Amino acid sequence: MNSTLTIIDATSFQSIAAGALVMIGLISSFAFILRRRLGLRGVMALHMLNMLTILLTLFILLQPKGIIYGGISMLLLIGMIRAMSKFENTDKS
Amino acid sequence: MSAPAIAPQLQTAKQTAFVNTPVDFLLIGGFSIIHLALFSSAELRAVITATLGVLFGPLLSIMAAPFHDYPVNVYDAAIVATLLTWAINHPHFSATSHRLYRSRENMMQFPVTAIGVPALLFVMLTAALLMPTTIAPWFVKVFLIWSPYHFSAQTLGITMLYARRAGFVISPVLKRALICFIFGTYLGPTLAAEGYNKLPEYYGIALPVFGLPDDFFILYKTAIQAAGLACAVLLINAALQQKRRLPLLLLVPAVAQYAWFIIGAGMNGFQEFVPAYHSLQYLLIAWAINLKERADEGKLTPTPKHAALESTRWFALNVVGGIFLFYVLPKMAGLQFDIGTGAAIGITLAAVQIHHFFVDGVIWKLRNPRVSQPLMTTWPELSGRSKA
Repeated sequence: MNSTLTIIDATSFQSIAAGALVMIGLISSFAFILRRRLGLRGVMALHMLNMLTILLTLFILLQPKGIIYGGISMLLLIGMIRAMSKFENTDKS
Repeated sequence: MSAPAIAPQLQTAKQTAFVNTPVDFLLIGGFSIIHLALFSSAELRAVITATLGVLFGPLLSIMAAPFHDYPVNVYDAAIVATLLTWAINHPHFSATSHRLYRSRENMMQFPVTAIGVPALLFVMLTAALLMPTTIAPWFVKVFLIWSPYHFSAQTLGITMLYARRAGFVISPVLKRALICFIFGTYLGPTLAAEGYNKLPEYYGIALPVFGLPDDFFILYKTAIQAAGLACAVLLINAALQQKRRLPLLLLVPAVAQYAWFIIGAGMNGFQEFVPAYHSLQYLLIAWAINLKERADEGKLTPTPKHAALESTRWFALNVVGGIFLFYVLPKMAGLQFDIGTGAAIGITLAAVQIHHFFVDGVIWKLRNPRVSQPLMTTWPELSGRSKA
């Protein structure tokens, strides 16, 4: 079972990567501009949205498969879902 | 519903069950345990299916007519499950949104969840609809891997909630064992489904797999059973140390989850109902907290009439909300994007449900007194039948 990263076609790659970068940039800008209003909890939540965007984009662009890349991807995805349970968490703000 | 930790000194409820033990048992997983027990014998299953077919077949065929081209007098689990979604599954999603969006104050408690997450999901949804063969499969995959995790988090959350209501102390070690068992039932089948021998589809969208080894399931299952055994030993030990009987309701969600994901996995006539059973758990608790909060906000003296009216209003609102989320939104997406109705529905449903996972993760923290205090209510209190 080979581990592979299959990069999608160039046109799709460009538009998806550019779209994702714009999205990440926008979220980061919001985090910066609204830092006082949102507080640490809100800013952290925006960073988590960035993490989600980055992970999803990496999956789309690289299409990981196999025990190594697929395994790492699965770990990252489950780790991210686990981390999302702390999203805008009121426990420790 | 996500999992909180409990501390022994916190407030408990006047009774462990919200309504009473049999009703709570059935709603938090008992129905599914009984369903599985009945369907685990092929002979019994055939008898039940035939009886249900005779009793309800014609009615179901009429009800399902707008959705399926089925012959009259057919009992089909998939049709029943589909019809149940409008009464149970979809209202449960709507109940979450209702709880967050029903007031500006509620929304502003979690501004990123209330505004930022829908905005991001709208962008992702649009991108997935625009590129249904490149973005959509991964977007849907994230949802499908998140969904059973969300079920598990709710199972753990409800277990901890009933422990809290009963005043039964869950030690950190016991909580860890419960986490291993409950999340094990999620992780095992989820990893096992990532082999190359399956080509999963969701509403006609071909989904990617990570290509993990297929033959680990026996290992996962053994690990889950070991965690279950550890939970049983630790629970008995906790009951002995606390010199009290183990509240049986506390066990129901975890046992039900084992039934959903391990014993009943892939069992036709059962697996179709698992989302409805998960939603039933949720609706019981969301209903109780809504009644309590409404009574408190209006400074009303609880009466059976108020409880009945408010319950009806809340349920009707959530049925309508469910129709909006699961019929109107996908329909609109299908009209806007020329990618086929099935794919448009699948992608939109993924976005709606990911939003639900986010919202659910923030609104049910037991450490938050605004949540924990109303969650200690009981039906006798809500209906004004409680002896002071």
